[in-house]
Amino acid sequence: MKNIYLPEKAVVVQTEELGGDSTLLTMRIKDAKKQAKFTWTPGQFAEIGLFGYGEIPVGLASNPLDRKSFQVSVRGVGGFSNALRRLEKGDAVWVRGPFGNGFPIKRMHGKDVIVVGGGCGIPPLRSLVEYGIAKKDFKSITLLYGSRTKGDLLFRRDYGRWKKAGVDIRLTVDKEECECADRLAVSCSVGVVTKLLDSFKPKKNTVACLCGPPVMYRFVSKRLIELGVKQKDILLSLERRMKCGVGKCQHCTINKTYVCVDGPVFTHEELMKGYGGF
Amino acid sequence: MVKVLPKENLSVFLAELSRSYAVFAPVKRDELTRFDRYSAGDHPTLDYSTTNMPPKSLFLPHGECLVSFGGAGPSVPAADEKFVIFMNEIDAEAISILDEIFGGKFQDNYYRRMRENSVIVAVKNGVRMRNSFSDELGLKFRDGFDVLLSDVGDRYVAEARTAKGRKLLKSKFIVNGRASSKAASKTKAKKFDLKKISAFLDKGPEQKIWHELEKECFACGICAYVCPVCHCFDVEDAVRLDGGGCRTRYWDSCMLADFALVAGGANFRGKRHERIHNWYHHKFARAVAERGRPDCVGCGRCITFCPAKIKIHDRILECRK
Repeated sequence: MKNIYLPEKAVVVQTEELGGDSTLLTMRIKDAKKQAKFTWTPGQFAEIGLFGYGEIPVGLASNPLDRKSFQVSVRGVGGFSNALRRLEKGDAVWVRGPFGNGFPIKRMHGKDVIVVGGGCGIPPLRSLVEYGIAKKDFKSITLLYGSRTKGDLLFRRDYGRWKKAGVDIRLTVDKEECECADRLAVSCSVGVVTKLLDSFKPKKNTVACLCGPPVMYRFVSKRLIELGVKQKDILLSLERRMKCGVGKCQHCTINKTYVCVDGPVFTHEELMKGYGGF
Repeated sequence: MVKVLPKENLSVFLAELSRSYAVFAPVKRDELTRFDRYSAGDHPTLDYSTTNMPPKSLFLPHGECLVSFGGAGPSVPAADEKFVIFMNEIDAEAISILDEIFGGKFQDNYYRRMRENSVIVAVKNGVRMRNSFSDELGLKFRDGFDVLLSDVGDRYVAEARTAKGRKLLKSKFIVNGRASSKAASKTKAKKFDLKKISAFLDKGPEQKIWHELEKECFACGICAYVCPVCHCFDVEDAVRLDGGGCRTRYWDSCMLADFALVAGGANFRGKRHERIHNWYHHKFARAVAERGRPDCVGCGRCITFCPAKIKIHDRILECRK
């Protein structure tokens, strides 16, 4: 029987500095058969580990249809995440997953999808955008993405390609900096991400997918509801301490749910039902 | 005719068992009754009124090595030897709850192999555990054990519930006897209206009771450690100087301040009253919704060992309102 705590060996294929203290790791599971089967629903996460350090839950960030490798973005906030950022091509990593539910892509088929990301919450949304582009599954994709500074905007290299593929990208940063050498493929305004919603007119079938800090959820959900988006069509991907990933260890519970098994994606309606929250 | 273990045969029966199994039983050590490995000369206290630790540590050891690493690469340590453990019916009920928690869609192999390696002898003796409220919970005593020993005075009536149990009862010290005519012990009326309690807990942590409790409770986590059902855990890599080590499972407690802390500093249950509420909510609302029964067997240990002397039983009953 499968041992739920025993990780699979993977190898780092490529690393890329993304800015914002984040590194994009491209990995491949050593066992080719297992790698070929390793796919997920955008929004699902994996436990990435190094023996001697531990494991962390990270949102899978690449196109799930690409079966040759997968990517996660790691932000260096502690000893372990920084150890992951130091990895080089050829180094071993240990992977468990994918875990959780992901975005309800079946239900989103043919809909106008608005994707709202805050700071380092963008990786699982990138997976969704890449999936949407590759599958031509959604009627339209609008990406609203905000971060503190231009340098913190992740996946800058992808914006041009996404724009060409028809994604309506709107960026914003909290503070304008005069000394930012980054040239982005799309223009960037100043202000919090809710500001980008001012000029946004949702359609009847709009589905919103959010990933970012709780404070962003509060304001963005409120605004989306004001704009007429239904609570069940607002999907939020939550961050919690998902230690085991399989609903045993109890760290990630909210009300009667396990974020690692029942989530990490919940509808606004579900989250408002109990005493839960973001 | 039924199988019977005369009380005078208990020590020879245990001695015989200990030749084929590691035998664990509640024994007195330094004025405390605790679950410990039986050795010749021990007099198990099968009618214990409490033990400082529940038997869960044999199935979910604190500091269990899940994966050892270094050297030849990661490997799963071999399971321990087969063991027999004696416990009362209340503690056995708790094991049956753990069986459900660590089973299900995601089987926990470590717990499972401990259970496969174990033979549980449940002892029914009508002894009320200290601060126990098992009878008020209306426990059904499902078959979470392999052998049931019912204390009927000078002997135990022995019933095997599984093949493992039948093997155990093949001992020459188990004799044929008569069924007991002794009446079942009185049970208190079921007081715990789980529907009402659960509905109140679902209201969340901002009720008066949790803010009151916050002033009494130290949030030390003892109630979780001594609980036979509490099972939350953390996993850390314990590293040796040579770089090898063990990915290790440690007991945790949802009462502790950093339980829901994530990297980056957000703490999703940073306030004490939220953690206290979560402890009760998990046991009497979430568990009930998940598996139809609370994560509690009313053994009373959380009350007996609470350093703040919080009457947890009374607090649960307050939730009926």
